[in-house]
Amino acid sequence: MELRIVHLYYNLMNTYGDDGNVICLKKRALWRGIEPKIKGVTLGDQIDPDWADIYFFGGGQDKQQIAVSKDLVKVNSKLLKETARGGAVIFSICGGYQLLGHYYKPHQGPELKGVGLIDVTTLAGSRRMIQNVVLAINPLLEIAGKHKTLVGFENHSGKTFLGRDATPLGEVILGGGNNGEDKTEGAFQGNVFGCYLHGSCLPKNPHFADFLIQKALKRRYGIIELKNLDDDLEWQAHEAILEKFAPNYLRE
Amino acid sequence: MSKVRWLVALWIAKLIRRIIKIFNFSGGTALPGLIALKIDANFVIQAAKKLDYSIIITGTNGKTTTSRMISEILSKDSIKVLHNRAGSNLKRGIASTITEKAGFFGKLPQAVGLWEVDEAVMPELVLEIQPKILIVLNLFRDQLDRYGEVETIRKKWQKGVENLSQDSTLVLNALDPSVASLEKNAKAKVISFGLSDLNQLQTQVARAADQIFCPMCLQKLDYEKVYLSHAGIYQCIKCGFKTPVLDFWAENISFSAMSSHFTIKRQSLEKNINLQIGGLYNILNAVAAFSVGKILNIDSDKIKEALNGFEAAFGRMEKIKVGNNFIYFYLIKNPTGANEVIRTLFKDPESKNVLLALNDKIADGTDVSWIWDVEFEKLVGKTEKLIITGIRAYDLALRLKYAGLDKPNLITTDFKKAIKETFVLKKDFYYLPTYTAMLDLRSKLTKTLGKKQFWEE
Repeated sequence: MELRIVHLYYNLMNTYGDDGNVICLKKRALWRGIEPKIKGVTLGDQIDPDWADIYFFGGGQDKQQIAVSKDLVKVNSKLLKETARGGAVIFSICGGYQLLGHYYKPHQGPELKGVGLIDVTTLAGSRRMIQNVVLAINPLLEIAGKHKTLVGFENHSGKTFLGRDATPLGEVILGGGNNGEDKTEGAFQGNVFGCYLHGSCLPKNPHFADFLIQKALKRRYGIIELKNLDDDLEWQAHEAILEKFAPNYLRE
Repeated sequence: MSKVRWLVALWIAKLIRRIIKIFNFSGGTALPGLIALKIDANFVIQAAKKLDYSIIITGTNGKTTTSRMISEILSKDSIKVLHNRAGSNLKRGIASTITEKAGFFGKLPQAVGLWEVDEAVMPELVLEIQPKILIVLNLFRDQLDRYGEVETIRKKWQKGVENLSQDSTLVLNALDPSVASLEKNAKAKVISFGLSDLNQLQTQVARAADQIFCPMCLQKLDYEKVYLSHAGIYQCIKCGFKTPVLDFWAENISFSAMSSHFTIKRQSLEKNINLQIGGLYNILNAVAAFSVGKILNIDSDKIKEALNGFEAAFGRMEKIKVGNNFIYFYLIKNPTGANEVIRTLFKDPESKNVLLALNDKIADGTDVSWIWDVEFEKLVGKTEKLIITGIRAYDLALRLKYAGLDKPNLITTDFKKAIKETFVLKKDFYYLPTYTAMLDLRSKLTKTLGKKQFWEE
């Protein structure tokens, strides 16, 4: 069995330590005897919509995000939609998340066009939200794990608002979340997920990592029961944040 | 009137310094400066006028080491230097240094101001101090929880460079496109420094490289090869922006964890340097310091002597004796800095005893995501005993687990326990902490060893 991973715009959308998510997907597959295969896609490359089980799309800086938006419009937007329809999972963070929405509207200049795979729009904000984040996972997702929380670190000025077809990934316990207003954080729509959690996100949220891996494998192998791993250290890192910022959720 | 205000600010600041000392308040080093600036907003401007001239140095990595090198060089030429200490590189820190060193009637005994300055405050201080020389070392991702983006800093720097008068000299690292691009905005004379040694070039741009677009026209930069991170030989096919011709450079380079040897060149000038600290990045720092010495017309042999006798700065490749063994401190604070420390330390095949410490205080950066951009994979099979500590010890231990390292001997948020564990072995140990973790480790070491023994080395 193999897990095929595509790292979208790996050399541009990589400013905030998000590469850890790809490392995490790779290792958690490997530790279970599943062979991880990783391909990078960057400016000028064309996505093969049949190949990958899971895509990762991280956060980058404004300049990089503009270049990526322009590249997506050419052909990859269409191919990403096609691959999502085919059952592939897409997991995105920060700038990647924004670009999977309809558009990003900066203070000045033209809108940055997004892929439109998640029904969200992002507007430039005046205050940058930079802090630790804890969120209670949306129970609709049925993510099983030691804790029902996700932890990470946000660093964004864009304010993301969810449309009717997108569902929040969770409710903010600590931090600004999507827009600092409605207490939501992240979004999902079908197999497409987005959030503002740097950290890196997946290593210290192992339940979420496995949830995504299982979903990704489903495309070619059906429902697979994942072997349990020794996640003591993962949970210790997770709990260190809960203990500091959301002790009530530690006891649950 | 302004003179009186300045003096009042000085006196009150001096008084506060005295109080801090008497009551032994810790961490109050910037407070006198802060108060002085509250009383007289022009405190730094006025003080700068009392100096012969000033030198400002900024950049993500190497500020402390390079300014200490420059200080040594100037001292060799009997120039008295007023230098702010590491960790107080904001405006208040500079004001604090002035309030400490100025006489009761405001006389400054030192002739030259040497200021290492935080990246974000450089433009303001250039405007206020009007330095004779401005040195920009490099720009890497660092403390993004403070700055938001790397590009934000580069834009600020463009403003800072515009504030520099045409009588000044701007010293730029030619290998870093973010830094080299500042030439465009400069009225000042520009001096470029760098390296020129094919053997030190790597074919791959680091995972944590930040400037892969042309800062001039946003086209993707063409990298032939790099020395470290995104610093190397680059070219933009669209607008022609490329690595500038070097005025000063190092060649014939060899280095280890403890020392480095190279030749610094400029046209007909050629000096062999034996530095008592290792790392390619420190060679680059030495070239920057050398060029400053030459801009000030200091004799080349004096510069050479100063560099050869240079000892590591606070927490940067420092060594501390414990019994018959040594603890070596290597500060790590951002991906590029950490990658270069790893590259330098684990060059030779023998494995080492390592203590890693991660804090998330403001001075460290409250976001620890950056550890995922550090190539810890290169430590696999190279550590004998491994101890993980710091406020975010579990995050760091997790990073190392995913890098493929064996289970550490100890993971603890308790610095004391971590230090004790390193003593048990009675072997040399390498401490790799973030900034405030370094301060914590040092103070705990002092307590454990007793001050006298601690400072013997």
